[in-house]
Amino acid sequence: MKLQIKKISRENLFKLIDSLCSEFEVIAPVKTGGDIFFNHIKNSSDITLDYINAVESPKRFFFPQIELMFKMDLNELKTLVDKEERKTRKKLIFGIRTCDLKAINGVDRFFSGERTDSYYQKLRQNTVVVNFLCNECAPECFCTAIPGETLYCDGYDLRLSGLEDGYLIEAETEAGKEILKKNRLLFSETEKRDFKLREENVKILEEKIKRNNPFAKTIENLRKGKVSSKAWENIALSCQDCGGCCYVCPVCTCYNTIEDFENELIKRYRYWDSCLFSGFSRMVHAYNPIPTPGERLKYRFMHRLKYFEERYSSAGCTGCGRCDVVCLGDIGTGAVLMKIKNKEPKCSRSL
Amino acid sequence: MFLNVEGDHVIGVTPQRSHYVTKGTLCAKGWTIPELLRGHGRLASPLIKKEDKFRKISWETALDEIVSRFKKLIIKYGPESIGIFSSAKATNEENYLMMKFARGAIGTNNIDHCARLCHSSTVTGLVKAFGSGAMTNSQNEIEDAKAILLTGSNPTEQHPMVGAKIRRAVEKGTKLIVVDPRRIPLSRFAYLYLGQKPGTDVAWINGMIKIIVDEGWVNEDFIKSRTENYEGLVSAVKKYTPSEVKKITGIPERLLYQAAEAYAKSETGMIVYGMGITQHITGTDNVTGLANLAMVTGHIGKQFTGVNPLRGHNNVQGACDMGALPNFLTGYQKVNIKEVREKFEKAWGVKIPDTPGMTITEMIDGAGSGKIKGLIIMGENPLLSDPHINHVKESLKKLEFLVVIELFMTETAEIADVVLPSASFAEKDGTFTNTDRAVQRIRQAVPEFGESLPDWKIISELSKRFGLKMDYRCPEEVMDEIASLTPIYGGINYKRLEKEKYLQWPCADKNSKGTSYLHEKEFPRGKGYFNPVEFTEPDEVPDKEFPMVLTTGRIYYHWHTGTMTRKVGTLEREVSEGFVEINPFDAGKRKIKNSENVKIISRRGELVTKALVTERVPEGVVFIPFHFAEAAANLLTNPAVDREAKIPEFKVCSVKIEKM
Repeated sequence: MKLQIKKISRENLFKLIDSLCSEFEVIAPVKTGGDIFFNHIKNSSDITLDYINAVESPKRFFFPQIELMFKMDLNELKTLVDKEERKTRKKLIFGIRTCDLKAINGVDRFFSGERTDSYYQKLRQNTVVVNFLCNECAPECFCTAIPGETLYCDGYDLRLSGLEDGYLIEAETEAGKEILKKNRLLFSETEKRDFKLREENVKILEEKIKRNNPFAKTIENLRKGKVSSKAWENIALSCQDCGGCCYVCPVCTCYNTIEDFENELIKRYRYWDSCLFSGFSRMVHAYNPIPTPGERLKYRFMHRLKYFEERYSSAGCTGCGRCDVVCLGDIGTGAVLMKIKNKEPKCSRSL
Repeated sequence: MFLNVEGDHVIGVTPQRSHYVTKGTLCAKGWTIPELLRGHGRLASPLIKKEDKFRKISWETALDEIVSRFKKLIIKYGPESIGIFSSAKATNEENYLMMKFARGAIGTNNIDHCARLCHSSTVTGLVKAFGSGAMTNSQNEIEDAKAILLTGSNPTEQHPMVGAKIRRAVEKGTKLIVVDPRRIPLSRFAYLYLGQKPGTDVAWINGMIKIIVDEGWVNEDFIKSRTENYEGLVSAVKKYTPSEVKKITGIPERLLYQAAEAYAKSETGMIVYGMGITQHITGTDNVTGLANLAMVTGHIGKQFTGVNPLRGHNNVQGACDMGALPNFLTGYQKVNIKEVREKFEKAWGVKIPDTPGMTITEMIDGAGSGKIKGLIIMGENPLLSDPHINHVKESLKKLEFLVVIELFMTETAEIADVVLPSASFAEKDGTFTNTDRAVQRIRQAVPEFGESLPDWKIISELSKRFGLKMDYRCPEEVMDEIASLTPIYGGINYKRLEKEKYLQWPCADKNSKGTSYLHEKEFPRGKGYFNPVEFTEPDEVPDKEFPMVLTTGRIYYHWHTGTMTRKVGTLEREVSEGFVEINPFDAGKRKIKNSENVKIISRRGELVTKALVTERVPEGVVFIPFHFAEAAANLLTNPAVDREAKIPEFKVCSVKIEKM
């Protein structure tokens, strides 16, 4: 499909957002008490464009932390459809950074591949994704430090790139083009120098992130299994078993289920889980095939940086660095890669 | 933390990056809050017990029944026959109202809460030494202390934020000294690990002070200008020579010397402690001992330097601040001082009884002996949390009327006459005060579950029926009243909290920015006082019949009596049953294998649980977490209490272990 590219001023971008709010359920970056979150907005005055990334990825909107799967009446042995069935109004997620776009692509492949997850599908379908390229990075960001990764990624409907005097807006899909068409009065034509400027900005940022996080070679060594068990165990000594790295990971999809019995009614919920909990891999008679914290940490890293990509041809770690921020043990992905690189399990990467 | 809400349901939690302590982190219990808030097992309506079965009733009927029953008891036995357990889980406003209700509406000072069981000896001990009993520093200062003496606390599991900060401090170069009978996770990061015998803390503390005095590592300027009775201390610690201390505690002389040196000689030094210090019959002595240690070295009253009890429940600091204590009104204003009472009497328009009331432990004994006839328990579960459960159960069953205000049908609620459903933290507004004295807001995210009501509304309704009006429209109005009566909360109001996020007391007026560390220029009592303390043995020492020492505590995945955490799938999966930690030597002697069921017997009770053979505990000591009703450690524990603080000796009792 051919790309359609226009330019939009800052003023008109807000008008565009207002126009989108009338048609879609718009989810966008919002500043709440000093933090940035993806949240539902009513109009463009709720949104903030002054952000590097949100505290959490938009994963929650497609795959909530806890979700009622179904209710069952034991008397009739009948599955009841939940009365509060989710609205299927068209959603639009505005302002997704490239790391989170990569994550959505990965989770899509996981949940919509050979086996389709209907709960995910229901929330994911009819969602328009608006990617917003970064022009600055946070201390935890390491996206382009992963070999082969760039600041660009396909899979968006619309993509915005910041320029000095406005934004480039590109449509990759029919849904995106439809939006451009409907709001055509808000756009102007692009000029060659706009693209040049964007290319320059992207290049500078990609290099900066690589410089901040010089561990491309470490990742390759890790993929080849060149990190010793002792190193993993030493690093894992700091793990405080909170599960936060997995919860906050935009690509992690593990969940557990629970049934609540209330008289004759059963409710089944699913909720996020983490492979770093020992109970996650524990089997009968307390046998655990991944018995130590170090092995669990190693497994998580191998899955995120190697196996996932091999299976789904999509990044298992997008370098968003959120696991580094939430980690009580200071052993998020970026920190661990630096520890391995420096052969210094005790040194912390300060964010 | 932020709750993600869809409709009336919490569907997720997001940590707050801009939070001054957590900085965007949560522990497993925080992360899994949405699992708890799915509401399974929540009480949805008031219940009354008729013929041993609970029946649903309306709020009106429930409240009227409670009031008429209590009024009869008051007429027959007097207001002193009524007791009230307030709650360290409830908000400041709710604790304030509960204490106002007890003193103003019922007319008794018999109000207390679970701080009695965790840090009452901190309050008595630190009040004697400094004049105020709270963490003297802020949690954020931990990372920059040059030496940390951590004792009787396992923060990695019980205070994960503090645990993380201590580990980070070590990585920055801090010398960490761990003194604990168990090899806690942080001992792997420690510069020194000293394993003392349970219940011998005064000996090693005095021993360290003696070494510091003998070696001249004392801070003479500080002692001269800021303290009293130094000579008394010096003569009291004389006999605690390193060899004598080794005899009592088992700590090698050299390690004690190194620990004293590392702590005393460092530029800034923090003592961090938990219930391993406080829950002894010598709890007050242990705490004053630590205060002495801090004062001889001048390690108090500065940034990164002080004495820091780690408070447990979300709002145990606040419940104390609010005067949910038998001897204090808000802000540690003594109830037996006439001027203090008059201030409150004028504001409330009622008389307040002038003598201090009964503590939790005394009220339970009182229920058994017939002194206490009616009890209201808000958000506490003494049938699992208090020592010698069999005695607690017998006593509570003798009550003529028991009311329990709860989220869930707990072990205690089961034996109540009326159970009132209350709203959870996600369903109400208010404030909590955390361990470093910071008052912070909570905001209602979802509607009240079922017919449940927030505690402040329940208390207001009860109070109204007793003739003391509480016409508050919202908790904000309650906080304004608290501020007007409480000097340390004087400058705290919701408008400021909205803007400034948190305020650390003392915060006297609207211009005060709050206080991040205490006692900079002066102690609240003027000069710091050295209270010499002597080592005495625990109430129960091992003998032929009961040769092992049992010490109790907590684990990371569960909280308190498990009322909440055991309903959280993730946490319950991680650890779903109780256990007893036993050293390989002791296990081998009894031919006990790992995971095998064993019987633990004390003079008060027995239980069967799984053995966890581990070197975490030393020889002669076993450890049982107290969360699990099916293997309740408190069946075994000793109800003997500290003479001043009345805190029970949860940390030491004698047991025997039998292979099944």
